[in-house]
Amino acid sequence: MMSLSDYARYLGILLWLCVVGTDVAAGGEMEARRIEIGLSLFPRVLAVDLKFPQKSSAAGVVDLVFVYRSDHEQAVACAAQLFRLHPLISSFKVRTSVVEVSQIDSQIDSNQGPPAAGYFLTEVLSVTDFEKVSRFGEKHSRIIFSPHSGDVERGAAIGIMITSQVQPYLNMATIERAGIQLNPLLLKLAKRYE
Amino acid sequence: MILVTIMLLIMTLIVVHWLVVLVPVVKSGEQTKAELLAASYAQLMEKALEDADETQVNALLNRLMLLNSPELDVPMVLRVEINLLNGKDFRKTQAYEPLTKNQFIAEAALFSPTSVDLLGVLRIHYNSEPYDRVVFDAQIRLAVLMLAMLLMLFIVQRLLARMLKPLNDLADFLQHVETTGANHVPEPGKNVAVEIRQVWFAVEQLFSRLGQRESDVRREHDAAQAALREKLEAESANKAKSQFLANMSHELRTPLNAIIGYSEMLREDAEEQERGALVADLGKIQHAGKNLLALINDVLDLSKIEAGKMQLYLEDIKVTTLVNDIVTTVMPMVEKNRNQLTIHCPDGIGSIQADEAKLRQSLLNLLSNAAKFTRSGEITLSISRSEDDDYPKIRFTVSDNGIGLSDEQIATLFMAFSQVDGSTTREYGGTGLGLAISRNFCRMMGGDISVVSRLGQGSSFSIELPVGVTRFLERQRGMSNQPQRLPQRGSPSAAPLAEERRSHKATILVVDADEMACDIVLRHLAKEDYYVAFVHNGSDAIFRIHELKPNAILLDAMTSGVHGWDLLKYVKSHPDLVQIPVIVMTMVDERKAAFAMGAVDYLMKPVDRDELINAVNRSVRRQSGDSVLVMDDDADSRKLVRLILENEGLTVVEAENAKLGLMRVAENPPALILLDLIMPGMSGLEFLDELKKLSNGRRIPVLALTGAVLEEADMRRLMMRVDGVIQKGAYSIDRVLSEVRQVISSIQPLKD
Repeated sequence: MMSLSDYARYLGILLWLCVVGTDVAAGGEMEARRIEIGLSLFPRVLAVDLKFPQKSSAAGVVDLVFVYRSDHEQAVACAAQLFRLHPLISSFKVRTSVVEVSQIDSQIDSNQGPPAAGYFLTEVLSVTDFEKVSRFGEKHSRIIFSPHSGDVERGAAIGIMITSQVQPYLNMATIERAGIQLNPLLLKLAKRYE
Repeated sequence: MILVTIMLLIMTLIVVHWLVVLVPVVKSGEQTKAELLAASYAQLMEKALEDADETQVNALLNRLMLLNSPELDVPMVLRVEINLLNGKDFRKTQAYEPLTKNQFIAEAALFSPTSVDLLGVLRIHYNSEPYDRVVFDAQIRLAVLMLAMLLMLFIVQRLLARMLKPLNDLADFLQHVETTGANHVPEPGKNVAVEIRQVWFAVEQLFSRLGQRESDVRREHDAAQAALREKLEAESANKAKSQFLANMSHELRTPLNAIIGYSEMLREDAEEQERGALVADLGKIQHAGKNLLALINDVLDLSKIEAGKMQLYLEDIKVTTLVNDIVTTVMPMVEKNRNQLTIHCPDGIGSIQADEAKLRQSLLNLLSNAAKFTRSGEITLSISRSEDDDYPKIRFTVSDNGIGLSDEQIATLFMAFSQVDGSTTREYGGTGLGLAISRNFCRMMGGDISVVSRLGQGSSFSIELPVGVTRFLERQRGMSNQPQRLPQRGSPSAAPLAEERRSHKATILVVDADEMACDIVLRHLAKEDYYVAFVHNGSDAIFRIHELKPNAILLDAMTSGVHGWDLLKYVKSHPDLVQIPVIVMTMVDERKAAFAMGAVDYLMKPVDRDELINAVNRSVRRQSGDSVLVMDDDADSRKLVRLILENEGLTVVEAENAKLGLMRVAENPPALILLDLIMPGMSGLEFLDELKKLSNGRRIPVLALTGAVLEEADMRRLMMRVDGVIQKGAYSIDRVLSEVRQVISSIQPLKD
C-alpha cells in the first residue's frame, strides 16, 4: 500500500515530465520555424556575398549543400523547399544536395570540383561536428548558415536574429577569418556578433 | 520620521522605475512599431522595385505617408526614403511639422523576390510625437502624484502631531511627575480623539489608584508603627508588671517568712519550756501570719492572673492519689466543725493531665469552704468521668448541707473581693478571692467551676476539667503552655566528691540574702545535727561552695549579686560541684525551672520545717550511694517503680531523660540504674554509651526497661550491654524487686 508521500512523489515526477515534454514540444516547433525563416534568408545572404559568382560550381550553377547529423529526410525536405522557393540566386541556377556531417570533408575532392557556394545546417550539431564544419567553412571561404539559436555565437558565419523583425545575424570574426566579403548595405542592416 | 522616510523611498522608487524601466520600454515599443512598418512595406515594395514599377512604388509610399497615429491623429511617418543599389532613389516628406524633433528611424533591406539579390534599403522616419506626448503626459501625472504624496505626507504628519500631542503631553507629565509632585493628571483638552481620551482617562485612573495605594501604604505603615509602639509599650508595661509582681511577692513574703518561722520556733521553745500562755500567744501570731500569707498569696495570684503572667505546669496526676492528699489536708478543718466527709471516687477514675498545684488549690478551696460553711453536717466529694466527643472530662463535685446561697449571692460569688457580704467575712473569715482564683485556674486548664445552691439547704460546687488539658488547649487555642525546657548540657564529667569532715553528719550551705531566713533554716537544721553555713549573695556563694564542698545547698533563687538561677547553672555545670545537690527555695512558684536546671528539690517560702528537713535528708541520703536511679520519660512509670522500691527502703532518684540521668550519675553514682530504652532526645542506648565514658559509670549496673518486644538477636545484643532486661507491662512487683536485689547484691562496692 503506497503512502501519501509516495503518491506525492509520483505526481511530482509526472508533472515534471509534462512540463519537460511541453517544453520539448515547444522547442521543436520553434526550431522548425527558425529553419523555415532561415531557408528564405539563406539565399539572400548568399546573394550579397560579393564573391558569390566565383563560388559557382559550373557555368551558371551554384550548389547549395544541406548538412545534417541524423535526420536525412528533414535535410532533403529543406533542400527541396529552398529549390522551390528560390530556383535562382543572382541569375545562377540553384542546385541543392544533402550531406551527412561526417562526410563533409569528402565534399572536397580534387576530381569533383570546388565546394558548394553555401552550407545550411538543418540540425544542431555536436561540438566536434560543428567545429569540423566551421573549419571547413573558414578554410574554403564558404558561408556556413545556421538557423539554430546559439550557432552564430558558436562560430557559424551567418544565422538569424528574431526580434520585432527577422534580421541576418553575422559572426564578424568568422566572416573575417573565412575571408567572406559582404555587401556593406547588408552589414549595416544586419545584427552583428563581435 | 519613519513615515516620511518610507514615503520618500516609495516616491524615489516610482521615479526611478519610470525612468529606468518604463520609458525605455515605451521607447523600444515605438522603435519596434517603426521597424515592423518598414519591414512590412519593404516586402510590399520588393516586387514593384524588381519590375521597376515606379507608379506602384509611389502608391505604396503615399499610403505609408497617409498613416495616422490613432492616439493623437498625427502622421505616423514623417519621411520615407528608398535608396536602390542601381542609384535610383525615392523620397517623400510630410508637410506636417511635429512639436518635437525626435524621430525613430527604421530601415529594411529590399531583396529581389526572384533572384534574392539585394536591391536597396527602405528607410522610414517614424513620428515620435505620440510617444513624446505620452511620455510627457505620464511625466506630468507622475509629478502630480509625487506632489500629492508629499502633500499627503505633510498633512498626515501634521494630523499625527496634532493627534499625538495629548499623548506627548501626558508622557512629559508622567516623566516629570516626581519633580513637580503633581497628584492628579491634568485634563487632556478639547478636540482630542476618542481613543486618545480613553488612554488619558486610563492613565488618570491608574494615577489615582497609585495615589490611593500610596496613601493606603502610608496609613498601614503608620498603623504598623503605632502597633509596634503599642507592642513595645505593652511589653514594657508587661515587663514592669512581671518585675513588680516578683518584687512584691518577694517583699511581702520575706517578712512574713520571718514572722511565721520565728513564731513557730518560739512556740516550740515555749512548748518545751511548758509556758502555756506564751504558746497560745505565739500560736496566734503564727496563725495571723499564715492568714496574712494566705491573703498575700491570693492577692498576688489574682494580680498574676490579671497580668496574664500565670502559667500552667501540666503533669499527669493520679486522681485517687491527689484526692487522698487533699482529704488528708482538709480533714482537720472538716472535723473542726464536726462535719462528716464522704468520698465517692470510682476505682478506674484514672489520671488527669493538669497543673497539680492549681487543681489542688481549687479543690482545697471548695472543700475548705464547704467545711467552713457547714456545721455538724455532711460534706461529699464525688469524682466522676464523662466521655464527651473527643475530650473526656473529670468532674469533682463538693456538696454540703450547710448554709447555702441565695440567687443574688450566687451572682457575685466568683467576683474578686466580693465575699457574700461583710458579715460572712467577720463570722467565717476568708479573703473573698478563693473562688475567683479557683475559677480562673479551672478556666486556664480548659474547664470551669459551677454551683448549684439553695439558701439554707446547702450547696454543690463542681469542677469539670478535660482529662487531657494540653490537647484541649491546643484545640481551643487557649493560654500559652510553656513547659520549661531543659537547658542543653554536655555530659557532666565525673569528679571526686570532697566531703568536709565535720563532727556533724553533713554540711549544708544556705545561700539567701535574707538573714532572718538563714537564721530560721539554721535553727531547724541544727537540731537535726547538720552543720549550716550561710552566705547572703551569689558571688560569695561561689567562693564558699568551692571552699566547703557542702553536702547540699539550699539556694534562694532571688539571691543578689550572682542571680540564684545563674548560681544553680554554675554549680550544675562545674565538674567539681555538679554532684552537690541543690534545693531551691523561692517565693515565686518556679518549680519546673528549678528541676530543669538540675535542682533536686524545691521548697516554697516560707519554708515548712518538716518539708525542709525531709528535703535536706533526702538530698544528703542521695549522696551516700545506696540509691537507685530510675530513668523514664513516663511519670507514671517512674512513680510506680519509686513506690515499689521505696517500700523496700531503697532511695530512689528520678530522671525523666538521659541528660538529667547523666547529671544524677555525676552528682552521686547510684547503686543501680533502671533505664527505659526509649526516651525522647538521647535514647537509652545512647545513654549507655555516655555512661561508659564516665569514670565511675562502667561499674554501675543497669536494668533495661523496654516496652518493645525484642527479637532474640536484639535481646542478645542488649544483654551484652546491660545487667538485665525487664519488659514493661509484663512485670510484677516481685519480678522488679527480684531483679533489683539480684543486681545490687552482685555488684562490687563503689568506693575503693
